[in-house]
Amino acid sequence: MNTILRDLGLFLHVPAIMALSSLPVCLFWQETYAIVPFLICAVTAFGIGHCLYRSIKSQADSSIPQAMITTALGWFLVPLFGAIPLIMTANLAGDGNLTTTLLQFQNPWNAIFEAFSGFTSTGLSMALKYSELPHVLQWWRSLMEWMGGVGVIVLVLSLLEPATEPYQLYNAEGRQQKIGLTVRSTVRRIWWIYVIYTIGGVILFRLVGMTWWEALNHSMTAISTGGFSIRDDSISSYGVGVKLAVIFMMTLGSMSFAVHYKFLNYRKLKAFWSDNQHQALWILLFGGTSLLYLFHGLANQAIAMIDVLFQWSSALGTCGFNSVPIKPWDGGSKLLMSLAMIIGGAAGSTAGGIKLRRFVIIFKAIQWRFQRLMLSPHEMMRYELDGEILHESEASRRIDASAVLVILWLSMITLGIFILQYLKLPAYHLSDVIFEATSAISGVGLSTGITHPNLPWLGKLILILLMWMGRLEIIPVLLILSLPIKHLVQYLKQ
Amino acid sequence: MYLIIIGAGTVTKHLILVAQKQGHRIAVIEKQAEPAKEIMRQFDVQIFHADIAEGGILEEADVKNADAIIATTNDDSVNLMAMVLGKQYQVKNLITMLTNKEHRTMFEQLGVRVLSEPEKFIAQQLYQFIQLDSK
Repeated sequence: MNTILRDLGLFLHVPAIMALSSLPVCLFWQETYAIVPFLICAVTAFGIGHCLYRSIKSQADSSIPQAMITTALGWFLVPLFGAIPLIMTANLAGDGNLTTTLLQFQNPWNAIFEAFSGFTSTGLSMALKYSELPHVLQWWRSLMEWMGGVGVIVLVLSLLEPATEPYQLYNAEGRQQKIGLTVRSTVRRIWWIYVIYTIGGVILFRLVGMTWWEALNHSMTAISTGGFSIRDDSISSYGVGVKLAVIFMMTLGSMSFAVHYKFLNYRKLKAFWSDNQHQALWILLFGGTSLLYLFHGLANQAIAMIDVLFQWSSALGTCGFNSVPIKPWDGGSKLLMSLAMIIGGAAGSTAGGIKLRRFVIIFKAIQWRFQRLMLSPHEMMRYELDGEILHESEASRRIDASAVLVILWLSMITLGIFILQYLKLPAYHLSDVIFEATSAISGVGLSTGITHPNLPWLGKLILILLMWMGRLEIIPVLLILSLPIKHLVQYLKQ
Repeated sequence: MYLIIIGAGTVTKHLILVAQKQGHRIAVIEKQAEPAKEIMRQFDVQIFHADIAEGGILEEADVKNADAIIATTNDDSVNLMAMVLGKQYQVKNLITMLTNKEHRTMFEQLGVRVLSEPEKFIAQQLYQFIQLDSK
C-alpha cells in the first residue's frame, strides 16, 4: 500500500511540470486570465505529489500487481488534475473571453472528459468549436495528448518491468535485444525519437501549408496518435498536400519505437517491413482502404480516395483526425471502421486498440490450428513468428494472452454499447453507438457526434471509463475493481 | 530430389545446408526431442520426431517419393534398420555412415553405399596439409 502511494506521488509531478511549462504559452498569447488556473494546477499536483513521495518512506520495489494498481490509479488521478486548468479557465475568463465553447467547460464533467481524452491520447472532444478555445487551452489539450501518448509506453517499461508482455514486445527482432541495454536507456531513446519526430512533423506541416501554431499542435497530436485539432473541422479544409502529410505522421505514430530506432540507427527502409506486425500494418492499411472505398461505392456514396485513405489510416492508427464527417456514412462502412479501430496500431507505439501484434498472433493461431490438422502423427509443428521458431509452450502462452485480451476488449465494447444504446439518444443508430464505444476504448477519437456536451452524464462516464480501460489494456483496471469485491467476500466469510 | 535423413547430428546440418542450396526437398527423422528442435529452429525442413524402429514412420515421411535415404546416426543398428526398410520400399539411393567397420560387408551385401570411419578422411586431409607445408 505504501509503495503504491509513494509511486502515485511521483506520478503527480508530471501534471505539475506540464502546467508550469504551459505558463510561457499564456504569456505569449497574452491570455493572463489563464495563469492562475495553471499555477493552481501546478501547486496542488506538486504539493500533494511531493507530500506523498516524501512522507512515505517505503524502500520496497513494487511487485507486478502493485505496479499495475499504481499505473491504473495514476492514469485515473493525473487526468483529474489535468482538468483543473480547463474548469478554472472557463470560470475565470472574463465576459469578453468567454465563448460558448469555453462555457461548456464550466461543467466539470466536460472538463474531466476532455482531460481523460487527452491523457489517454484518444481525441474525443467536448469542445464545440476548437478554434474558439483560448490558445493556452489548445496547447494544454495537445500537450496532454503528447505526454499521454508516449507516457504509457514509458510507464509500462519503467513500472511493469521485464517479466510482462509489453516489455518483451520492445525486444527488437525477437532476438532479446532491447532498444537500449537497460530500461532507463530504452526510455531515454524513446524520448529522443519522439522529440525528433515531433520537430520533424512541425517542419513538415509548416512546409505543406499550416501556420506555425497549427503545425506545432497538429504535429504533437499526430505523432501521439491523439487527434485533437485546433481547427473546427479538423483536417477537412486543408488541401491534399496537408492530408498526405498528416497521413504520413499518423502512420509513423502507429509504428513501434523499436522499428523507428532500427530505422534511425541503421538507415534502412527495410526496418519497416522487418516483423510480422508491421507487415500486417501495411497490408491492412492498403487492403482496408480499398475495401472501404468499395463499401462506399456499394452504398452509392461518393467520397474521394484521399479522404477514404485518410479516414482509414486515422482509424487504424487510432489517431482520430477527421477529413470528412462520418455520421452520414452507411452502417457497413462504420462497422468496417470499427474493426480497424479495434485492431489499432503496432505494439510499442503510441497507438491504442488491441495492437497489431495481438492481431497477428490470433491470425497465426488460426493458421497454426489448420497446420496441426494437416500434420502426420510424428511430424513436428513449426510455430513461426517474425521469422523465428517458437517453443510450443511460448506459442501457446502468447495465444492465451492475446485471446484473453481480445475477449475482454470485445466484452467491454459490448457493455459500453448496451449502456449508450439505452440512453435513448435520438438520431443515433446502433452502428453509431458501436462506432463511438469502439472509438473510446481504442483511443481513436473519431466521432459520429455522440460525444457532445449534451450527452447525459452517464454516457460521459461510460466513455471516460472505456478510454481509461483501453489505454491501460483493461487488465490493471479489472485488478483494481476486483480488490473491493475480494475484500467484501473475505469480510462476509468472517 | 527428395532426401530422407535419419538422425539430426552435426553431419545432418551440413548435409541440409548443401542439399538446400541445390534446391532439394528434405525430411529429417530423429528420435530425441532436443536435436530435432534445434534442426527445426535452424532450417526450413520437415521434421519427424520418431524412432525409425517404430514402423510406419518412413511411410509417414512419404518414402514412396524419396530419391535417397541417408542414415547419419552413430548407432549402426539404427542405420541398418533404415537401410533394410529403404530396400523394401525400393528407394534408389541408400547411403549410410558406419561406426564399426566390421559391419561393412553386411551393408554392402544389401547394396548400400557406405562411408565408414569418417575420421580417416579427416586424418588424411590433415596429413596433406603437413606435406604441403613442408615442401
